[in-house]
Amino acid sequence: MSILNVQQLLAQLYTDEKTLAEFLADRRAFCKGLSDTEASFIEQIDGKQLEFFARSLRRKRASEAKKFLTMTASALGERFDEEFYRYSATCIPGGVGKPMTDAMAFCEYLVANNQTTDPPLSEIARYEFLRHSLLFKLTREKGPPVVCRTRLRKWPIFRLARFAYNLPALDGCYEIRENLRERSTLVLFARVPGRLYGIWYW
Amino acid sequence: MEGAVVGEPAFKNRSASHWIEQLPYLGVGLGFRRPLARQIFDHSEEIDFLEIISEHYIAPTPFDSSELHQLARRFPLIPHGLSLSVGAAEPVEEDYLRHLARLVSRIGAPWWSDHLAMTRAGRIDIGHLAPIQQSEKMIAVVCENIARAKSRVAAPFIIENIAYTLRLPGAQMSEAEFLSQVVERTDCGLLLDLMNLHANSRNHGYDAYEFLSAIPLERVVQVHIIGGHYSDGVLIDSHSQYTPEEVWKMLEFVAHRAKIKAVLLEWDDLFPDFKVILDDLRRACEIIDESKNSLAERDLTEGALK
Repeated sequence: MSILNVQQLLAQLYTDEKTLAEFLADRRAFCKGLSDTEASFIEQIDGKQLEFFARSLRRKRASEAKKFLTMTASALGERFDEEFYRYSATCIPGGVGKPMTDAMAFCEYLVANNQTTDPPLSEIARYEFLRHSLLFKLTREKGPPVVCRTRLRKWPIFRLARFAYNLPALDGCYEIRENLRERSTLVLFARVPGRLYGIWYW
Repeated sequence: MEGAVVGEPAFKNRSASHWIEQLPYLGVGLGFRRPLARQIFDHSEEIDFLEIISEHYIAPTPFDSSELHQLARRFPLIPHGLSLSVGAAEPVEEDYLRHLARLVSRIGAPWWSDHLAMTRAGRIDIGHLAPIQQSEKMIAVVCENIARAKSRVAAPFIIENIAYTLRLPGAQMSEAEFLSQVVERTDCGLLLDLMNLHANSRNHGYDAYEFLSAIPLERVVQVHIIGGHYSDGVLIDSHSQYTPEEVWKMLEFVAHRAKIKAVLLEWDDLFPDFKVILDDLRRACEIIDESKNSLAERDLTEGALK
């Protein structure tokens, strides 16, 4: 096994909770198939430090993505981290702009998983996803691990979508659940020179 | 956490490269963060330079481009990267380097920086700075990656010591020696993060001043200062707290021994009142100004002895 292979194993331990749990449960079994030197290196890693590092990476990932998701974060409240950790096990962001990649992929995850259980949350996540998708395109590379990336979009410069709630009126709002009203709303998201986006609604 | 060995670096020749002396003196600056944008522009007279996160501008949106243009018109800018991954046993990404080279040339940066760390391995992007094993093999890996990066980007490169909570086993040398070997062999400058050093010395039980005495301080181009917080008994470099006195003292120590070109206050989160930030910038400026006299005296003495 090369240095790169050992580093890949380390990267897996840092980013994949399942791999980390396997390692912590039985180091000997985990190191099967490695050379003596590599097994001895991996086995000697301090479990507590490793767990702490992996946890801090996850926390950082969540807090970076949160900065792009004001409305979703407000809607989720204290559940944000818990939901984000669940999502984070499904993919790893790659390339530059990882926080935006995570923000968009997390929105997709929330839309897919909350349509029936929490429709307002699903709509809020769809709204934020569409707003970001004016500028960025989210792609997925099959895994394992599944790697998500965003790249800058040239087109389209606008998007039209219908929502069941008064979401544009609450854009950037920190108390979204309290102010959310059922109201069919047609929203036009468009790029505006010199600004990140413009929003019009009816 | 276990203790650490801090030893003298193996190399003997500690003459600083001529190019470091030639770099411009920038003064004291701030990391550019969007929540601070308005105050930064309002107080541009009191901020000598800005450090920007390279990744925010290497594939810029139209908004990012216009922001970068406005920043470059008002301030000298230093690109500070997070994704070079010099510690990964694979070549630094060519695409990334190409974009970075374009950014550096667009803003006319006097130098650029990244971390002595691994941020990806194969397809796995770790998402943050992970430590690397302090071994001879890893020095070779790092040196090769830095050489490649230096050959693609026109401006000089400086490398930052990271804070790490995980100590990888099998270290063949101290952290100070590893860092020294890397900067000497690659002839690059040092971005000395004093909060990272403070956190490491606390978390891994070593003396920060022994570390400072063991590295080639004459290679220090830029210094980072800021504070962190404790989490489960571990000091984290969260860049979200006031610079502790221990870090200010370290800045004085380094400033009296190295001709620092730039000191950066690295707030990332939980920003205080901007007045507090400006006060800290003034304090850093005073430390640098005071140290200039003693450095000038030292130069005179050394000149006379020669």
